[in-house]
Amino acid sequence: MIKRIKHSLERLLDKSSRNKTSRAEEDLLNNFALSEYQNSNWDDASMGNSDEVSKNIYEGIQLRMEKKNAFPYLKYMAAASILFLVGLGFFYKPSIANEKQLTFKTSDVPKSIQLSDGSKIYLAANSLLQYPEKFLGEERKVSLLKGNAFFEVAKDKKHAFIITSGAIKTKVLGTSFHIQLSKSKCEVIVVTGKVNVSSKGQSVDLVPNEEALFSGEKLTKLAVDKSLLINWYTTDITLNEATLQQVITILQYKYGVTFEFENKAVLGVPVTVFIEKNASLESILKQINYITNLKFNVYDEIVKVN
Amino acid sequence: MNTPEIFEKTYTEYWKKLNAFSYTMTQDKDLAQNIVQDVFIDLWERKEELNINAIEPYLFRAVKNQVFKYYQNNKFDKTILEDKFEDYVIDHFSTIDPEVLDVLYALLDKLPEKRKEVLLMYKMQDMTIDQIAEELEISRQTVKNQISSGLKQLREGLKDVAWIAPFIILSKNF
Repeated sequence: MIKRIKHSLERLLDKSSRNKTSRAEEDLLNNFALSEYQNSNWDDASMGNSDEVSKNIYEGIQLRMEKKNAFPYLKYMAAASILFLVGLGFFYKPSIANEKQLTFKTSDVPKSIQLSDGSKIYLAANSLLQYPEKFLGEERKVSLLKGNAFFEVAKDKKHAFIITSGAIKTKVLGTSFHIQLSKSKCEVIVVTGKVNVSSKGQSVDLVPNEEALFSGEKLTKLAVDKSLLINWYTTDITLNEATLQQVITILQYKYGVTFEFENKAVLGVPVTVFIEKNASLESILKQINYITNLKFNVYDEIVKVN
Repeated sequence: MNTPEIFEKTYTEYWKKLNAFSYTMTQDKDLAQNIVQDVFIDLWERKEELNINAIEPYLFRAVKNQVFKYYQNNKFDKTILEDKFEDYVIDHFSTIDPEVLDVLYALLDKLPEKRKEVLLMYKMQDMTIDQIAEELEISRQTVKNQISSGLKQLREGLKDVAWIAPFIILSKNF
């Protein structure tokens, strides 16, 4: 049986999203929020200086305003003095070195994103990527801040693609590879093409089926376990008579969770599972439970098995 | 709303309270600011389509919806809102429609007789600790203990709503 511990607030909000709440339930949610709204106050210590914050927010709004309504805004500004025109210039011509940084975060399902150069990144669950809205510099730079990702980098010999993940930098010209970042280590695995991985003076070149592992300040090159190369990011996969251990490894990559087993002997059990590209973790655990009778309890990012 | 001047005035008037609200709910400074920013950007971009009578309730609702959406998507620490919700429910106990929190009432029923009695007096009838002690002929300390244990039990109930409950009901019909 699969059980997830859910708070009554979450249950109510889920119901509300599906438009299944009663009038009284909606009122409860609304009155709760309203009460918090009415009692909220600005606190400089935790929220910052309110004038600065206001400017910050409004600048962001203005950037979007001028994008859509360029001419009316210009008309409004034209009557002003030269100082204003200079200000407008800043909005109209962002400096090349100033790339606007965006973040892409996944919660409990994997998602893919395409960057301005055509590169495609498949982000596993519970992961966080930082990237610029548009690549403007000599190098194309992104950062994997948390979790796992599979990169398909668009070929561009003039602009190297560099990924920062933890302490290591991965440099590519046009290729596909996989990066896994956790608190204690970072792994980069090449699927096609060639990649250079470096960290503070150490550097290795990788070709397909090779992996760089950075752990405890050391960078080493290793041969790779084939199961990691299966393209679960982009296709449905069927694992035929794979050991439970192998299935778990893929689920750990795909959903960013770790498994805790009461009895490790079960890891050798052969199972056949079908993992759809867009499947939820729960549906796959249900499959495994049906075959093996193992019980899975999901607590955020940890799955306990008994 | 149709000119930049009116829009800016609206922003200046309401942004601060909305940001204080989004921060209170998420405890995440950046997320809170992003929410306010997105709400105003959306207001500007859709100004032609929208027909708003009262702007403040509209903005409040927009921020509230964003906060709840991010909560459901695990974008910030869920326990913040959950704790606030528990506090709200317990403080406004007597005003909440009973059918809504059937879980809460089912739990109340499960409390030991004495604990239930004390809690109901305290919450539903607004009696003070002294008044309850006198009414039930027990010590003030006992009243306090019963209240705190009772509230603790109610909070636990609010936290755990297992999915298997519907399954149990279904299987009983077979």
